[in-house]
Amino acid sequence: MLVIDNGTVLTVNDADDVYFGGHVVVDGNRIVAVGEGPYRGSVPPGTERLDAAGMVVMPGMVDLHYHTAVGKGLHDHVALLESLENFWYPSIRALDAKLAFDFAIHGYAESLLCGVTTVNDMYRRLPDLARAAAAVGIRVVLSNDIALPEHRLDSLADAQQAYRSCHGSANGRVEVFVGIEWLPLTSPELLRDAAQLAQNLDTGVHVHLNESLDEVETVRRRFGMRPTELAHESGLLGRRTVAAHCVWLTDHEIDLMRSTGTNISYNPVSNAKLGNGIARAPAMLAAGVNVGLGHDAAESSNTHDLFEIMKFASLVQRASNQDSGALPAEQVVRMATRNGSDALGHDAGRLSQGQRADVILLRTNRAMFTPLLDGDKRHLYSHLAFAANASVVDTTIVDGQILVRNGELVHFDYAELRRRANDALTTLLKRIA
Amino acid sequence: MSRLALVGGTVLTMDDDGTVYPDGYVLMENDAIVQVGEGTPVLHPGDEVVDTRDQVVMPGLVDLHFHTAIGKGYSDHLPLWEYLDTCWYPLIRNLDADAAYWAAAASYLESIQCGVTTVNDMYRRLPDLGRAARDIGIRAVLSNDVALDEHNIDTLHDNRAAHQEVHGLADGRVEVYVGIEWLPLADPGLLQDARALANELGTGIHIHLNESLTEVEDSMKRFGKRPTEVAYEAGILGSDCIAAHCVWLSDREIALMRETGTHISHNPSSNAKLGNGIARVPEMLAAGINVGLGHDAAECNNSRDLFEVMKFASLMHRANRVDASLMQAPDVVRMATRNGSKALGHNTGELVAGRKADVIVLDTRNPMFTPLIHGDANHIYSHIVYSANGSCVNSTIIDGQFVMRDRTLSMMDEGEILAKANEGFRRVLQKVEGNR
Repeated sequence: MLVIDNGTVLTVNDADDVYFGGHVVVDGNRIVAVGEGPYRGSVPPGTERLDAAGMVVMPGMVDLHYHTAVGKGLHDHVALLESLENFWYPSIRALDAKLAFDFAIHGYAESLLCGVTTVNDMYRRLPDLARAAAAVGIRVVLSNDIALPEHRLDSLADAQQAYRSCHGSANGRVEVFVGIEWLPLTSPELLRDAAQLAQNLDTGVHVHLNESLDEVETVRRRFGMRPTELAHESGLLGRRTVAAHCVWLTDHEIDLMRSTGTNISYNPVSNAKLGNGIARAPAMLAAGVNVGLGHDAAESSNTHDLFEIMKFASLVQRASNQDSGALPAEQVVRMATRNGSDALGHDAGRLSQGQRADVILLRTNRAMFTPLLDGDKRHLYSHLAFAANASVVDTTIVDGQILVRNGELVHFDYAELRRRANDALTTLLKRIA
Repeated sequence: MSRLALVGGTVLTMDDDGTVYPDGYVLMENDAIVQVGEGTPVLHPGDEVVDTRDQVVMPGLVDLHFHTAIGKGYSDHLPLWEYLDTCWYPLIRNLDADAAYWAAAASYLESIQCGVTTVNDMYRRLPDLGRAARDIGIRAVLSNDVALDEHNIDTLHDNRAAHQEVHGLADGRVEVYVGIEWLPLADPGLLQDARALANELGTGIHIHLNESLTEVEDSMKRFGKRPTEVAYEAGILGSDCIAAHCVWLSDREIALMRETGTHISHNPSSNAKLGNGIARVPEMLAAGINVGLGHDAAECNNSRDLFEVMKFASLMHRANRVDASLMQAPDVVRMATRNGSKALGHNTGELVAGRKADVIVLDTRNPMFTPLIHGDANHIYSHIVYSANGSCVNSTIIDGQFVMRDRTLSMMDEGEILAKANEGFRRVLQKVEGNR
């Protein structure tokens, strides 16, 4: 067992309970108790105690749209299409097992250090990613970059194979969804087959949808409808689908998302940096769509820090709508935790009895959390959403296992991961030169 | 004579040519930079040498629009004017000397931790702020929140007294400008008097200008002119003036800024959070206006991290205009360093012999700077703007002195500052709520 005591416990549960000086108790990979004051239940010998005095204890964050990535900072000033064609596709076509593993392990480690406990990763070479995830201990949902064969990316057969070899591995921490690269590289038949495959495998779907005006124009020209309409007609939308970006949704498209129960990953930093625009997140939320947050890829947002994404998610809406009330702090924290978890069908994302033990501890004894009024829930949410960055993360626990302590990886030497990531980039750049 | 050499790091000089030394050094003597280059300088016995391998050495950041702040997170969801009336003014009217000193120390602390070496701080109780700046070691330009008397904030008399008391303090690291709260609390007569005072004292002006649509409407209603036109006619604008925000500038207002050589502080996070909008920075830059960056105040941005402000400064415009080519990384780094320094007339903002030694050291042995192609200037600029946050700052040097070394504050105790700042906020908040 693991007993976390004396912390400020932000449960993010339905009642939005916060326990000042509360406890969280973990047995195996589940949370078995959460509440006010010290834990008074009996504990077996060998129970570890974490003193969370001066810390916030909250659910781990869920990065709902994620790509293992390699080329951060090399193509910062070009639009989406150019960035895909000049770097992203060449780089993911040049992967081998070692490169995929080295990139994945560095990215997952970075996410853990940022307090992210689950990533929804669309990339290639899923068995290599699964090995990296198992080694690091993070929870991952993997999906392929499926496109028509002429694009030389992944196929439905690749997805089926990846599902067979990896789904459910690492005590169920690794899952495989069916992933669709994006509509400009697909056809209605491929989308229908993908939806069918997901249904046959009893798994979810991860798709880029309506990311840029280019995409909307291409899809309208080729298929006579908007991206969400095409996805809907192909049977791709639904409760087990995560649609990423959704920047230029019409009211009708939002309505399709709502009526099908499709989950949206809002990725504001990536959408901004690539010049794709500003998604209508307030309208989606008002319609009752479940919206989580994603960083996307290090090539397009350059950070795995969901604290930064939470802040920008709110601020870019306030700036563009001239509305200082848009996306309040509590809402963006929910988006980064329970909404993401719900989108993936996970029983995590809040600290409640019976949930998966994905928990993070944040240090508050620093300028980012100063001033801090004792017992003031609203103040805490404000600092989490608007003042903090990932440097406050002290401890990251996934499935009951402590993977980050004192802000450092427990099982890895970060310097070694960094060296391997740098070497992998050098190799890759030579390969695609 | 004391000399300090940082050796082995990648030196981003931010000079006119954008020179970068992949394995370079910066040599300082007393408060000045004496030599910058590739390799190792000729050292003398007694020189202090610091190994900066795997680190980036660059000019300290300049926060061009800053307020000491006490009540971060106390009001997050109101528009500017309501926020001022319900949060900002009540808090600053109830400051005491101790609360001002510790709020300033905590504000400067976070800035120093984020690699900021100069702040352009408009607040109240300047002598208390000046002492906090002196004690912690930061370079600070202070100005009062001057408004018409009926608003019960500061007066030009307060600003004159502050100039007499603390201008030039701490070997000149503390200066005092004339500050104007904003036009809705001023009139043309007060603006003219503020200009006369600045000229008499031989100092600069710091003003909030054209921050919100409500300000523009108020100015049109009361004066029949837009805010920048009012400021121009009152003589406020000029090459010694920093106008903060400038969100809703018309083409004519941009032309007036250019004509007068006025410097603009762009504060994208604050403008966003308060729902004020997105300033026309691409047009300002195209007009040749000198634009720096500011965080504004912790009540309305909530972070003093200029790395974050740099990123948001680039991203807001790209999102808004659907254009990925805007506000590229090297330009944004220039805004946060040399542009800010130039706006304040300081001899800092670049690592060049003869400049004041305001230098920061960034650690690259972390995920923010990975992957990194060694010595690749564009890769470093990219990581600074898009990937890093202030936690990468390892050391902050101001006037040749370490004010933070290996993340530890040199001249004050971090724990004490945070505790006293918390106490001060609770005390002021009790007064505010007692007065309601």
